[in-house]
Amino acid sequence: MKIGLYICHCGRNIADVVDIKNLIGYFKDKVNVVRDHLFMCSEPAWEMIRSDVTNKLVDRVVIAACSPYNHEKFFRSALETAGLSKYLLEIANIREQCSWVHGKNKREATEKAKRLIEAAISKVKTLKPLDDLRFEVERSVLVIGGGIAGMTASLDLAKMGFKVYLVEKEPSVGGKLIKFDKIFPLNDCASCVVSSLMAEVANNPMIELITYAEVEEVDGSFGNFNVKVRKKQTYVDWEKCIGCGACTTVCPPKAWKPNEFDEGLSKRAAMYIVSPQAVPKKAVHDPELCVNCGKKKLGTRRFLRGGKEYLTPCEKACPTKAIDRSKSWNPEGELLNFNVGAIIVATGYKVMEKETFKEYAPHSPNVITALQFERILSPTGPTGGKVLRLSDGKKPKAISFISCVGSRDVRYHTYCSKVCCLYMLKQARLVKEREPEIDVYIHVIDVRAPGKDLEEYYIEARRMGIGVIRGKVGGIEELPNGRLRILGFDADLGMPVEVEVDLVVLATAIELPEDSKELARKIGVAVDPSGFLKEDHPKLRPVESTLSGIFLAGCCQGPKDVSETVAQAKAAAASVASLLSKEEIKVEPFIAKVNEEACSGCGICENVCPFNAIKVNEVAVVDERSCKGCGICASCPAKAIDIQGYSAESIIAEIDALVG
Amino acid sequence: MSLNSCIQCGTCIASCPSGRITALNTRRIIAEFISSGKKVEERDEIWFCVTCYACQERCPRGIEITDTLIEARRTLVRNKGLPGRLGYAFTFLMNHAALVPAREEHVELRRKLGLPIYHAQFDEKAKEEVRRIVEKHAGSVVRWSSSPAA
Repeated sequence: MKIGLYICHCGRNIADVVDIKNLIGYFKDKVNVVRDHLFMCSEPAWEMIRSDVTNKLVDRVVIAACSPYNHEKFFRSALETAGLSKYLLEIANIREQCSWVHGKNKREATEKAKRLIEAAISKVKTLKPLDDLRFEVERSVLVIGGGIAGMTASLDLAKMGFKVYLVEKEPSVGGKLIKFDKIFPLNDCASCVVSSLMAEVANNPMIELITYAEVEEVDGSFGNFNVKVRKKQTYVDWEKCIGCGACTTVCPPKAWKPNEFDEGLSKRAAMYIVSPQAVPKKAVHDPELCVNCGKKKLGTRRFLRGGKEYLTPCEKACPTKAIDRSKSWNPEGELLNFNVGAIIVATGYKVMEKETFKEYAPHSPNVITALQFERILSPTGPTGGKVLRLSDGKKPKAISFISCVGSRDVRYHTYCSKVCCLYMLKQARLVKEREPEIDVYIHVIDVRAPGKDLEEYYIEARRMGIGVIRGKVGGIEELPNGRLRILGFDADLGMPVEVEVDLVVLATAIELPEDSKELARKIGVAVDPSGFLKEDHPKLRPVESTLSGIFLAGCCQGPKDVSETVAQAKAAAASVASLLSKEEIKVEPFIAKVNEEACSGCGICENVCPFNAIKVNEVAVVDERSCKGCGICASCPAKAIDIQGYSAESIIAEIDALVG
Repeated sequence: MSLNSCIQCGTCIASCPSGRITALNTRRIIAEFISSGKKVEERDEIWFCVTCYACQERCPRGIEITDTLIEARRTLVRNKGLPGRLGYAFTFLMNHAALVPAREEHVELRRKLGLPIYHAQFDEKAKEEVRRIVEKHAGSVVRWSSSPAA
């Protein structure tokens, strides 16, 4: 056994704290080869390791450098290309666990580095050559979320020949974007951007569109996930429904509630179609809202005195008999079960409600969120796109926009929501284009318009006479005449300003909805401190989640505009394709291994396995696909189970070296 | 949270009911602290703060603005004593157990009508209590007068 030790300086990251010369002197006689390098992750250093292996100078490699999380795969490739099992490698982390945390104690840091390296050497001596596990790949993908991100990714994958299951929580795809009127920087119509995608995902033969459904369970791992999706009960026969909307107009006002599609600015009935552009355009029945006209409850029949059957207004209105309330509908809906090779999470965002911000007079109907104002500007919205305030239907004389409501604020979210500056400018411009006599003010901390075409977009807004006032608003007072007094500040003048307006638009922060966090918990994807889903690496693996085989796209990963969302969705689709286009996938072999001779078949392992990956049939058998290598089963009383690469022998050797 | 984390957004001064009509400008106080190191206690206008805490509640950086102003006032008082009339007011309070003493003719009238005299300045227990309170909070800057006037 010939051991090679390779010590990295990491520029000055390690070498400034850990005495590398000392380490070389100490290990010179304990291993066969000791070398150091300024950057062990560079190509020349990689070649140095590879040639040592090729020239048979070493057959076990210990690298003292940064966390294996960074470059373990890279170092393994040096062994593999030299013809050695790539798992005969061990990394001692002398950066994160040494120089970075013990910067003030150089001597102790060097001593700790010695211990860590000794442990790695002891462990590497016990390692056995291992091969990757190879699994067949399920060539299909689950995309969660039917917004612009989910639809773009689905279409890209479908075009590459992959079967896609697109699951959307709402009865229609389209996401938030279909609610918008126009989008920056070109002020092109949002509907034109997104409507065609909605039609395409509905009609592409490779895409199975499952709307009004939620992912309930995900099992298995990369290459072969088993997915359970709950299709919610619509109480309308979608095979027969033609989306005419007749049922929605006869539903009585007692069964109305604020319309989610109009962000609560209009009402919808218990029988509803999400939007005029809904895809699929099908009616849905909301049993919580239904008043059971004529006391006819779901699943019952009623006969009038003459023996004629009573039909509710919706049943009567339906020209295709898609609504039959006497049927025994299952309130649980339907559970779908299928396998996919990879998952893209594209669940999107929500904006904070105005009620959180007491200083901004949230009780006033004339204080609205920017998403509500999008609906006012939209031709499909409650005012048909006319700039009116909803409290009295009058045209406002002045409008104020308030930025950073809940963003850049330690009380709520410390991050910048990124898109608010631009959409406020966009909304202000749309107001000015339609009604030039309305005074428009935007109160901002800074105007953030980085990147192509965006600064120009801002300048054009200034040119149009939109008042951009630098300084955040402290509060809003409601005046007796119904107007709103903005208590602002003008940083350029250095003094407080007060503006009286008729309508206030709050640019409330973008955040991850609670149900997306719930989903993340369910499938095991990490949420980062900002509250969004965590990418595996912000620069190198920006569309990969922390779990292999699960990818992220769009605002569930962080605030971004439409261009960035589409770019990320396409990147996620391409990353999925690059993995699923192979016949088989290779997986690290660090899973449980049963010594059949020692196994007594007692079944303890089967009971303790959290992944149902081990079954006892006379002796224990491990399902290689499901095993995550957690090691709980290795507590076997007969010591019949070991985790490959982390055997009891290896771990004891490591501990002995650490404490010895 | 340090004053240095201020992003000069202006929320504090936009929320300030006093700043609207007085020289108090919390944003400028912080700006000049950051840019030239001018100490908060070197500014007279901090006495215009009505300690309503609106700025501190709304500061998106979580800066304890009102607390900083109050602390600066304490430092000022410790170093220089209370500003003119305020020192007089506290001394008066200490000696008379009231900022507004009872009017002589009212007291006479109450005596004549046999009504109880409830003013703190005639109640030794109350006077003692007020003296203790003033001493506790401003004892270092006001002095107990040995000849309490009735």
